[in-house]
Amino acid sequence: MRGKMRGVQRSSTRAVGATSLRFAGSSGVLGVCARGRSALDRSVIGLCSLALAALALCATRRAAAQDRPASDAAVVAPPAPTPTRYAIEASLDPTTHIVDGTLRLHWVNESAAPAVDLWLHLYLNAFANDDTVFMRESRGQLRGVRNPGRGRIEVTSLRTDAGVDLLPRARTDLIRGDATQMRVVLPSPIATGDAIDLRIVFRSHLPPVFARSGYVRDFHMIAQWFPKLAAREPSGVWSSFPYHGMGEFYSDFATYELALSVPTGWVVGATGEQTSEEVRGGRVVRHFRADRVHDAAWVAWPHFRERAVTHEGVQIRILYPPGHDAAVPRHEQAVREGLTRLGRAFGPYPYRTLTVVLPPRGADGAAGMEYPTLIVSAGPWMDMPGIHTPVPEDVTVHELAHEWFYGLVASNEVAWPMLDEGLTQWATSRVLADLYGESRSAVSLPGLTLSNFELQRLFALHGRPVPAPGLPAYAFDDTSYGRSVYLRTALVLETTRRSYGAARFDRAMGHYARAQRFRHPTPDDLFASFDGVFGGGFSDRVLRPALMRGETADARLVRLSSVRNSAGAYLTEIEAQREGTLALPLWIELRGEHGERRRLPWAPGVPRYRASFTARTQFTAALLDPDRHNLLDADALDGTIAHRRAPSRAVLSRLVALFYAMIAAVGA
Amino acid sequence: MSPMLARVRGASVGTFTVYLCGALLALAPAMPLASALERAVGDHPDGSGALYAPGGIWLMEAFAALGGAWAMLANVTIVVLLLSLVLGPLLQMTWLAALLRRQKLAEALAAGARRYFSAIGVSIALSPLLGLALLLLVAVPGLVGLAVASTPSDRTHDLALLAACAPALVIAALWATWHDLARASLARGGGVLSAVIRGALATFERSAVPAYLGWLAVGALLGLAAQLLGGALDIGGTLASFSVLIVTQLLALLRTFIRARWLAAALERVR
Repeated sequence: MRGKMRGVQRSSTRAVGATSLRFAGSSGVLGVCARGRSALDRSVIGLCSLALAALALCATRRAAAQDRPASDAAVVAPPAPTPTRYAIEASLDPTTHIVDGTLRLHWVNESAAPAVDLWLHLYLNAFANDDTVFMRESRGQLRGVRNPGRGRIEVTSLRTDAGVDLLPRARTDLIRGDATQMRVVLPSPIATGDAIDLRIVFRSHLPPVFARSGYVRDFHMIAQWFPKLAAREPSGVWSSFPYHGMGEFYSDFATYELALSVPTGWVVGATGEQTSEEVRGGRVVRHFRADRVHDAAWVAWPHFRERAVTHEGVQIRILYPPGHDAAVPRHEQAVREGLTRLGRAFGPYPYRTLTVVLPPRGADGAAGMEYPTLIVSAGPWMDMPGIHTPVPEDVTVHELAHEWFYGLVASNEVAWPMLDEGLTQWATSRVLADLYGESRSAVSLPGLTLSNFELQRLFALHGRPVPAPGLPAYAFDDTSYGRSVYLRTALVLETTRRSYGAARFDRAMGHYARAQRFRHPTPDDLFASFDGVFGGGFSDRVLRPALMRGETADARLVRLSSVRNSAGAYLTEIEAQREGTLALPLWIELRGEHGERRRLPWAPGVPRYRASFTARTQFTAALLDPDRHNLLDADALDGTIAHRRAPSRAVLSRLVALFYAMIAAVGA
Repeated sequence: MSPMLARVRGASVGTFTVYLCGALLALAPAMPLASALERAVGDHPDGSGALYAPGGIWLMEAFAALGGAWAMLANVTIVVLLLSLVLGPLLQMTWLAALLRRQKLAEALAAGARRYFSAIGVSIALSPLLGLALLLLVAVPGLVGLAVASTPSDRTHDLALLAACAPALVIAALWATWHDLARASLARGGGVLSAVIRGALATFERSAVPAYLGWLAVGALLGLAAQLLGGALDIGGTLASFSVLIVTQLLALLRTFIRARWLAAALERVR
C-alpha cells in the first residue's frame, strides 16, 4: 500500500515540473509576438499583444486553478478510514494517577513482507528507572525540567481474539535497563494484506508531569500512555526505537476510538472529535474518534475553562486555567491565523476539531507539545498585558504548525527530526513574520524590535559548532538539538526562500506538504519536491549540503577601491571571497558619496568575486547581501566596507542615560 | 519661596556636582560599550545607524561580535557599582550639607567628609531592616505560594504571590525613607548614631513614605522619558546627537533636582 503511495508521490512531483513548463509555454507565445512587432502595424500588434496576453493570462490562471483544486481536492476530502484500528477503553484514577486501559487492536499488514513479530512501544517505561535510554541520554532532564518521579506502563494481558496468550512470547528486555519496546513473536506469520486482532490490557502509572506526560495536583496530561505499534515500513521492517532523550515519535496512521472515563465534572480534551458521552455511577465516559491519525493523547482536569469557536469549519476548543480569560483571545487569534495561513500554504487542516490546551501552573513538563488534533501550548503566565511581544503566539503557532509537519506529514521524528521540528520552526517564523511584520516578529517594544529569524540566527550560528540538522536525534545533545534541528533548519529554509524566490519556494514546500500528506516522507522526498520546482540538482547544490552536511554560506568583502582616473571618472574595484562551501547567489551593493547605489550580482559558482568598472560616481562603501537573504553567514559584519564614516548616532549619549538611571536607582 | 525650595536653590552647585558625579560614573561603562558597538559596525555603510535597523539585525550582530569585550564590560560595571556604594555616603552627606547651610562646595565637601563614617554607620545600623525586607521578599511569597498551592485558579495564585511581595516592598520603602531622614538628621548634627536614628524615627510622620515614593516615581518616569525621547531624537547627524545628549542629560539633571527637593524636605522634617 505504502509502496503504491510512493509511486503516486513521484508522479505528483513530475506534475509540478509540468506546471512550470505550461507557464514557460505561455511566455514563449508572448515572446514570438514581441519579436514580430517591427513588421506589423503598431495598433494591430497592440491588439494582438493584448489578446495573446489575455489568453496567456487565462491559460496561466486556468493552469494554476487546475493545479490548486487538484492538489487541495485530495487533501480537503475527509480522510478515509485506515485499516488499522485502535479501540481503547481507559479509566483515570485521579488519586493514584493510574490509567487502566483495554486496547482492542486490529492491525493489517500493509507491508510487502509477512510479519513474524509485532513491535509495540511502551514509552511510559522511559521514566521507570535511571537506566532507561531516555534517562541516560537526557541525564534525567528535558528543557531544563528535571525528572521529578517515576512512571511506567504494565501490560497485564496480551491475547489474540482467538484467545491465544501472547504475553509469554513478548520480550521487553531488548536494551539494557530499557523496557520502552516490546517485541512479540507471533505464533504464525501474518501475510501481506492479512490482519490480526489483539486484546491488550494495560495499566499506566503516570509520572509527576515530565517530558510531555504526567500529573501535577489534579491536572493530568496523558500522553504515550498505551501500547502502540511501531511504524512498519513498506519493506516489512519495523521502525522501532526506544524512547530517546532527544527526538520524538513515529507511528503509522490508524483510526482511534477512545472511551475515556473520568470522575463526573472533569473536563477532558482528547485527540479526535467527541462522539458521545455517558454517565456510569459517579463517572463520565467520553467517546472520541479520530481517523487517519498516528497517535492519541488526552488531558483531564476538573478546573479547565473552555472556549469553543469555529474557524473555517474547524471546531476549536481552547481549554485554559481559570482566571486567565484575558490570555485566551491571543491564543485564539494565533490559532485562527495559523489555520488560515498554514492551510493556504500546506493544504487545509483536514480534521473537524482542534483542541488547544493551555496547561496550568506547574505543568511546564506538559507544555509545548503536539498530538494529532490536540496541541499543548505554553502556560497563560506568558501573557503580559500591554507588551506586544508574540511569545505566547509563538508557542501556539509552533504547535499548530506541527499538525502539518508531524501530524499530517508524518516523518520519522528520530531519524530526521529536522523534517518535523525544523520545518515547523520555519513555518512558525514565517507565520509570525507575516502576521506581525518581519522586524517585529520576536520582540516589539518601544525603541526595540527584534526579528524572529535574526534572533534564531544569533543562537544558531554563534557558539560552538553543532552537528548538521539532517542527522538523527541521538546525534545531538539538549543544546545542539535546538540550535541545529530547529534553528539552523529554519535558517536554511528561509535563506533558500529569500535567495531563490519566495513564490517558487512556497510552491515547492506546499507541494511537499500536500504530496506527503498521510505519508512518512524522508529528506529525499523533501528534496524531490524542491527539485520538481527549481529543477534537477537544486537540492544537491543547496539543500542537501546545508541540511545533511551542515555546510555554511560565509562570505566577506575583501577590498573596495574607487580611484579617479585621468578622464575624470572613477575606476571602482571590488573583491569578495566565499568562506563557506555553500554557494548562494549574492548581491553586493556599492554606495556612492552622494547616496548613489549600484548592485552587482555574485553568481553561486564563483568562489572569489572580482569586478571593476569605470563610472562618474566614486563608491566609498559596500555592503554584501544588502537585502539580508543569506541567514547562514555567521559573521555579516565582514561583509561591510566604508571608507567614509556615516553620520554618527547618539549611541554613547543614550547609553549614558541608561546607566545613569541604573546608578541613580542604586544610590536612590 | 518656601524654605525647602530656598534650600534647593541655595545648593544648586552641590546638586549639579552630584549629577555630574553620577554622569561620570555612568560614562565609565557606557563609553567602552558604545565604543565596542560602534567599532563593530564601523565598516557598515550606515555606520552606527545600523545599530537601529528594524529587527535588530545589526544590533544582534554587533553584540555577537563583542566576544571578549563582555568580560571587560562586566568588570567595569561592577567597579562602577562598587564606587557608587563607596562614594555614595560622601556625596549624599556633602549634598545634605550644601542643602542645609547653602555652603560653598568645598565647605560642604569638608562637612560631608566629616560625617562620612557616621553615614556609613547609619547604613549599617539600618541594614537589618533592609535584610528583613529581602527576607520577606523570599519568605512571604514562598509561604503564600504553599498556602495557595491547591487553588485551582492560576490568576488567584499569581495575584496572591504579587500581594505577598507587598510587605517586603513596604519595609523597603520604610528603610529608604528612614535612611534618608537619618542622614538628614546626621547632617543637622543630630548627635550620636543611636540618637540620629531615633531622632529620624521620631520625625517619621505618616506622609514621609508617600513623599519619598513620590520623588522616586517622578525620578523613574524621567528616566523612562530620557530613553524614549533619546530614541525619538536620535535620527542621525551631529545636531541630532547633540540634541539627544542635551535632552537626556537635562532630564537626568532634573531628576537630581527633584531628589534634592526631597532631601531638603527631609532636612525640614528632622529639624
